[in-house]
Amino acid sequence: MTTIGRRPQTIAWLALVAALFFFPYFDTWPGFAWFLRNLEETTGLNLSVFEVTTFAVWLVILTGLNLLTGYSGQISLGHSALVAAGGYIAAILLDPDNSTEVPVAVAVLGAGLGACAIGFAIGVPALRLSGPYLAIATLALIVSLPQLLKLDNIAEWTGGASGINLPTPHAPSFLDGVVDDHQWLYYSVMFPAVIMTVLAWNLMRSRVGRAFIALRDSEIGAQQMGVNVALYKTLAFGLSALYAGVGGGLFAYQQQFVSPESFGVFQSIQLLVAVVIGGLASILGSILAAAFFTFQVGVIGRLTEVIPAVDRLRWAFYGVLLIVMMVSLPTGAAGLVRRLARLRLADVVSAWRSGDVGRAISSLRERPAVVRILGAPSMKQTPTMETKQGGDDRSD
Amino acid sequence: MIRSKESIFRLLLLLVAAVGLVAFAACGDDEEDGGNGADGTPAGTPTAGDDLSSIPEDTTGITATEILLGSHMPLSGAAAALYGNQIVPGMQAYIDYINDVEGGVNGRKIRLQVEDDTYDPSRTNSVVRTLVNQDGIFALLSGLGTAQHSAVFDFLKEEQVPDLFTATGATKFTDPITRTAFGYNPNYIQEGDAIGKYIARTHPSAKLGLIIQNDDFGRDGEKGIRQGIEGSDVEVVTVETYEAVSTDLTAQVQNVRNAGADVLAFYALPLQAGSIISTAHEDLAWDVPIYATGVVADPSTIQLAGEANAQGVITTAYLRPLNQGDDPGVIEHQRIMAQYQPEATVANLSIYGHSVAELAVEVLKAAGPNLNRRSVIEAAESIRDFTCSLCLGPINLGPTDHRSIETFSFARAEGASWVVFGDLVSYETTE
Repeated sequence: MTTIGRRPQTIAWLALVAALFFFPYFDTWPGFAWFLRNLEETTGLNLSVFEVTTFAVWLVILTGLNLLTGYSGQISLGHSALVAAGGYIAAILLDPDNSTEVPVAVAVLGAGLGACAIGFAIGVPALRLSGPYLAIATLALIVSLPQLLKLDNIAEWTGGASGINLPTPHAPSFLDGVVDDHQWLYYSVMFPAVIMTVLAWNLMRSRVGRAFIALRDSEIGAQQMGVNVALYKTLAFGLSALYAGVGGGLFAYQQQFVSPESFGVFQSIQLLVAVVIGGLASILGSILAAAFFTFQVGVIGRLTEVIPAVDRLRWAFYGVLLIVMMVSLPTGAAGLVRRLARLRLADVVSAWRSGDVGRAISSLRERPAVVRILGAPSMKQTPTMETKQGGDDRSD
Repeated sequence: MIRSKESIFRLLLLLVAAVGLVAFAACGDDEEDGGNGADGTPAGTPTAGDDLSSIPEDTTGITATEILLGSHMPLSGAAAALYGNQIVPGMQAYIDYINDVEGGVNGRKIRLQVEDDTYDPSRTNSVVRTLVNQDGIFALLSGLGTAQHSAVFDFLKEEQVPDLFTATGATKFTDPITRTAFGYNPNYIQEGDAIGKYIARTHPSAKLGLIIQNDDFGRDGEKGIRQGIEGSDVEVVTVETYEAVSTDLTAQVQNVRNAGADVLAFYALPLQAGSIISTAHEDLAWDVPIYATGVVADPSTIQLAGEANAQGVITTAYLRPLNQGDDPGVIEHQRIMAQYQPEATVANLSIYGHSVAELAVEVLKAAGPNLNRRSVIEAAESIRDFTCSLCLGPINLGPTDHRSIETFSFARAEGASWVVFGDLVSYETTE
């Protein structure tokens, strides 16, 4: 990409940040509020300030999961356990009953560091495991979590099955009239979320990020290049846990409540599904994954009202979506966005005229994944698109 | 920059395997609408005497022709079939009936907006905020689930939104008393206490074995039973626990038997109850008297246990069970359901939904034409001796008592249904 090609991209990012910055004020404008209400009633897409705050929480968590799974290639099915660790650490620190009232920022940071320590602790044995074995080990983590949280000797802090309730956050008094409580909550979650995302983006383009990617693509190769495999594998776990912990801390602060039921096995799996759908090894992918994770419940709920069978087929729906994504868009929604962003209208028109589009679609049939499912294409199809097929969506 | 196709497919396969594994284990991991509690003695202290002036005379959600109520229930996901999809038609049918026959309450029709929280506390948080901030509900009615409602309890309290008749047995919502919040279900400590006293009466020197679910629901039940047998010669010989995700309780029953118990009591959900009863009475051919929490008082439990095995099992009931075919309240419920919700099934939980809606309508009527958030709280606290058409005992509420149902009865499995017997047991504090 040349610098000219990058300009619209930069503008798009700045527009996104600006939109997020002013979002809580759009809401106070009646026309926009009306639009949002109708959007919610028709599509189930709830864009209230609180929901967008929830999005910011999951953005941090999913960025962390993407560092681990997308960049360093290690699969964690128990990521919610780390989120829970962060959530509980923050909630215990913030709980007025414990008289350990600390500033929110400290609690969230403590949550991140605590989860990070746990992440490193898991990362060490994880060195011996890879692929499915690692996934099963992390699955054990989340399955055992409810029992651990309900243990009698720690129930005094964790509140057992009832969880911990936190007081509602209020905007500081010097901001009276400028920022109301909802907006305060929004900014105090969105700000760290954006910072964490930018940090991750930078980090993944640095030495650490390259080491992760090298590890993922070939462990032996990475070792030959001088990457300390043990160090970087545990670092990936620790870093990802740091994100999960901060996300969990923000979750506790935003929801003002944590309980064993807030973090489950299904949630953990859903996180992984979201990352795959959003786009592995891509920050844009994490953002899209967080949007999917936050807003799909409402949309599917609305769909259930129209087609009742959707509810019973919810997981089948995820499964089909996942397979379709893998086959047609292995880079996830982020890959699609990147490809669309590269299209120029004139190119599209000329491609359509010359029949390239039709050929590109028929070439899908020859993709290795499709061939594996449907068998080799019949002979009457002319072999085409040798050049177009490979590599176009491979670069990040 | 992308993982090879090979490993993506492996990831996919793994996800499918994990989902399958978990779905297998997760059948029925949902706690009955209840659980928790602090102490058994039903005595609350009002925070501000009889003075309600701190609650604003807010009329949000009320127009000249309409009252907007909201609720959070699981309408999709695993818990939906258990709760939301049965309770909501019951509530809706009675509200439609009142709107239709009586033209609503004081000329205002009631509109109930139920939002789906999928039984996930963070979803509850989100949907209830939308109900309050965006839809502008007047009050929340029958929010379901202990953890779920916990997530929004403080928010509703702070916004001074009346939080009426929460669908859980948790004492934490009614003790200490929050002026805007009222509970509905009897709590498990009171119920356990009654079961304990009953065992002490009928088996004076019993060796009692307990099987409880490892959460607040089970723990409260155990606490109640221990409280009930205090001072008698009944001795608890063992307490076996299980996690809500497990469904086969053969090992626990075996352990109870090996510990030398001669009476078995349990706090489990219907699915596990079926396993306990059939294991004891059929697989082990162990003729032990069984006492169960009222949570299992549903015909499905008898089906799960096998009709022959379930005979004589004793439980508690606080609403009229469906089978009592000659009961006028139940017949009326069936008629209303057939007219207003013809597609929904009539079940013990639709009776539950109907009964809570009836109490809400009673409160709205008592609040009079000048309806606002303060007057509705005042009206709720004035409810005395109200026996709804489906209740077994009267409901009393007051400034120091925000618990609705505090009387219940024992029931015994006879044939394919539960039959209520004996006198009412009352834990009522308000005279």
